[in-house]
Amino acid sequence: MFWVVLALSIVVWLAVIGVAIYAMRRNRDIASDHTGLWLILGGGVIIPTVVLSVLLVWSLGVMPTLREPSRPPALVVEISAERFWWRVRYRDANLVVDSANELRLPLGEPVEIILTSPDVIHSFWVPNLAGKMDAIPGRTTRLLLEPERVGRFRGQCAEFCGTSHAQMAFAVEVMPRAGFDRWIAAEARPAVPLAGAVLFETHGCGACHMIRGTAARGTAGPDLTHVGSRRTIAAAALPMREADLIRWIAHTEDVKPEVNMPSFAMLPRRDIEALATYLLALK
Amino acid sequence: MAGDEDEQELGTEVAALLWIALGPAIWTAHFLGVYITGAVLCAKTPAVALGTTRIVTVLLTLAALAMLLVLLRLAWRRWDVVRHGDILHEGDSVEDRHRFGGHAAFLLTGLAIIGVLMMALPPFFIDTCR
Repeated sequence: MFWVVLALSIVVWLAVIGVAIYAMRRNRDIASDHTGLWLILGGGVIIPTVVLSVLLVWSLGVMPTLREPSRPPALVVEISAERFWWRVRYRDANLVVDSANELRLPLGEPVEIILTSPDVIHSFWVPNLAGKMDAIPGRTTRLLLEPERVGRFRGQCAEFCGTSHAQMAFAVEVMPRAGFDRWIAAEARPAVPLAGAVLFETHGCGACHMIRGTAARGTAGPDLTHVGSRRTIAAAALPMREADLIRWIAHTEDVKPEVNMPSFAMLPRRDIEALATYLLALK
Repeated sequence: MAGDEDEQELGTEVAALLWIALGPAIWTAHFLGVYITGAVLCAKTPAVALGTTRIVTVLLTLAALAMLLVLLRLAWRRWDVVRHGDILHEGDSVEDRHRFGGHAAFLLTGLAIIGVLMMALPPFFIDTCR
């Protein structure tokens, strides 16, 4: 479609420029009213109407095929954009895997991203992979993309959604199929049992966060089952390091103003450190 | 008497402006009718939306075209090219202003006919509401 429209545009442009050059170089004799009238009617009314009508009918005819995926999507990812993070659910024929704030995609395969939002309008945007698509409360929108090269790409909420809108980002990692299969199989497993789970539960973190395989069953915030394998904290606001995890747990408001998670500065320092160690170990 | 003539002429000029605006107004109403029908039906009843939208589009398009064709004929007569043998009307007489109104209404009505026809096409080419 792009090439056809481009070719037709070049033909029209050449014709217009050609006529303009001709008009500048011809004798200064004034054309008769009759010739002028037909030039205006032909060049200004009839030709543009015919060209635009043909282009409109042709492009409307091919549009339905452009909207369909070239092949059925190999993977469906449901993403709920929430203030100020991304709830991610991978779905294929065999499994359903919950994750958050990071997206991993297999190389060279069509992926369907299904977007929703429970609060305000957000926009899912990974400039290296595709155009923007809004996530709108009460509606489902979808985006088809097919990553063509391996790499890590930054994604960003592209519709102002509140004070921490700029810190509502995420990373997309495109990986070969074999690596993706290994990763998704690991992501689907419950967390390894660790001593820190008791502390996590004692301080009430499990009311909002899910860690599969433990007593933490909350769904208000991001799923943390394998949070230690992610490269960032709080929707790409901070790198995944112990010092930054401690800062995040103790001072959420300083990192992301108006975030739903309260600051836990009232906890004993050693408990916060132990929680950070526990979360980092959830690979 | 002079006051009556002024008022009469003012009335004629207001009528000329209404004539000019009528074609684009019908085009606008048709655009909104088709667009809003499609949007509401797709949101409420996506399964049957396209069929109903197509029927409504045909009805609205026929109604709009009928009105625009009548308007086109009336504007042509008001422009009165055949009797004058000249498409231009550059004097400042009442008649020239009258003919200018007809000329402008004729061109805008022609544009509105093309716009209405183009607006009627999409519902027949798309095959889902998505």
